[in-house]
Amino acid sequence: MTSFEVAYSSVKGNLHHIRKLPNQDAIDVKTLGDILLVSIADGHGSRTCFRSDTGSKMAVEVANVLVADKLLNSNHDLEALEKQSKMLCKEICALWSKTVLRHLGKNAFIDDEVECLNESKRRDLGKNALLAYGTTLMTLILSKNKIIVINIGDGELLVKFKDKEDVKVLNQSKRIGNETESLALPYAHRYYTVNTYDSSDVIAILAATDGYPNSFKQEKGYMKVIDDLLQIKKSHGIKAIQDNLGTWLEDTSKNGSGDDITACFVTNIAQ
Amino acid sequence: MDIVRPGGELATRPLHFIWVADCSTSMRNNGKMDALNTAIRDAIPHMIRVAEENPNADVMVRAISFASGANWHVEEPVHIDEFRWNDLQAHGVTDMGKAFHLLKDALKMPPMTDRALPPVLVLITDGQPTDDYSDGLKELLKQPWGRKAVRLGIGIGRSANERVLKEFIDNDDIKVLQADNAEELVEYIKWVSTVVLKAASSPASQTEEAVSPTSNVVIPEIPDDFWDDMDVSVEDVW
Repeated sequence: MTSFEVAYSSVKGNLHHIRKLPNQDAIDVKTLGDILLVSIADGHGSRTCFRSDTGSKMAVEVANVLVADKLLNSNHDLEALEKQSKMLCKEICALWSKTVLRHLGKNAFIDDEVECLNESKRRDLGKNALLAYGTTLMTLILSKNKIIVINIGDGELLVKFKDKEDVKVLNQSKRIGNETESLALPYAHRYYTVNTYDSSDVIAILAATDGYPNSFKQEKGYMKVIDDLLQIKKSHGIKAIQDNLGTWLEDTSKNGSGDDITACFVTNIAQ
Repeated sequence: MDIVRPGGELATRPLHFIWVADCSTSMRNNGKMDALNTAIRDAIPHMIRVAEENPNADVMVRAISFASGANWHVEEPVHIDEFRWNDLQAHGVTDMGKAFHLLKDALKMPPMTDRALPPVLVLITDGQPTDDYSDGLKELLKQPWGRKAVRLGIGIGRSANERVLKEFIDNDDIKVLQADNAEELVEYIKWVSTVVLKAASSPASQTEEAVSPTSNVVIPEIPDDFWDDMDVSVEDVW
């Protein structure tokens, strides 16, 4: 039993509905005894990244399986995991690459996938086939004492702290115009960031793919989401959030960025 | 149970499309200025159609003219649905560098926001810059959105300086569009107004390896049969 309540959803973006494309985001949520694991990925979706829906699903599965394995082998010791976090990032990148290449070995690129690419893009793909599966990845490891967040790419994290009015926005990606760091990059682990928090300081967390913040006219409009969700939880309970989240995200994509949106809201019930 | 959606006001993402047009005296020759005015005016309905197909991009249009100095022909971003084209008039020299400085100021953050889609900048010229264009271009490319913008160059007639247009584009994957007659100019203007606008309004993400070091929008190549239906005689060539 964890000390967290969670609600999450992943919806296909408005533009992907129009263009008949799949949802390229993915999410995986697992409980492991008293630890909650959340992984969220955003497949890049550009023409070169034509298998990014597969790449994002692989990413969330690989991350959660690997972290769960580490925790099982260390008797759920998050201190040890934190100390080895850089190595963990490296291992996630390596296992994702291996999984992708295994998939590619059984499913070679076909003409339909590459014929729309120009010579230069084909060369890029020839040099690095992982690009076809390119994705971001954010993994949260939440225990009653500690919260570890490891992230590559433009996923966004809002953290609401105890005794603080402000919501902290965590998005280390300084890139603009839909450019992002990616698991598909060579030496991808170098782009990973690791943040840790004492669970006792945290009231709630909202982790999301960039389609969510990009849908708001102003950043403060997005930051308001976490406060509103806390109010809704107080008045209607976490189940009401889980029941409505998909509809809210679809509405948000339709009237906002048009992108796929995945969001996971976690509250610390110990607070 | 009807619960109000969490969060503040939603908004589609702005996509700034800026025409940067040469209005030097030479544009009067052989009807080039008229052809450009007509081509841009005729492109508007096509841009509206593309914008309608991409409801999550808010296409805003502006225009800069440069000759002896540079000015905003349309200074405030106008939503494509309300955009009207007033004819440009040719006069003076080719102060392209001054146009780049205007662009640079427009692409600063603020007024631009980081949630915008990559802007589209279309430079159209028939000649050689007569001012220090390289300083203006350098300043433009120092701006994050100047660097990440989709930059396209259309040369009108054989006197257009291709090297300068290439410098402006700064992307080996994007070729200079060379228009040698009014029909070609119309087609290129239509192409940038539709195919390029559509590509820029897509929210697909990219990794740095999958994109050029400058723009992060993949511009489709002009198809081989692009000119198949064109009927142009030798006298029409600029």
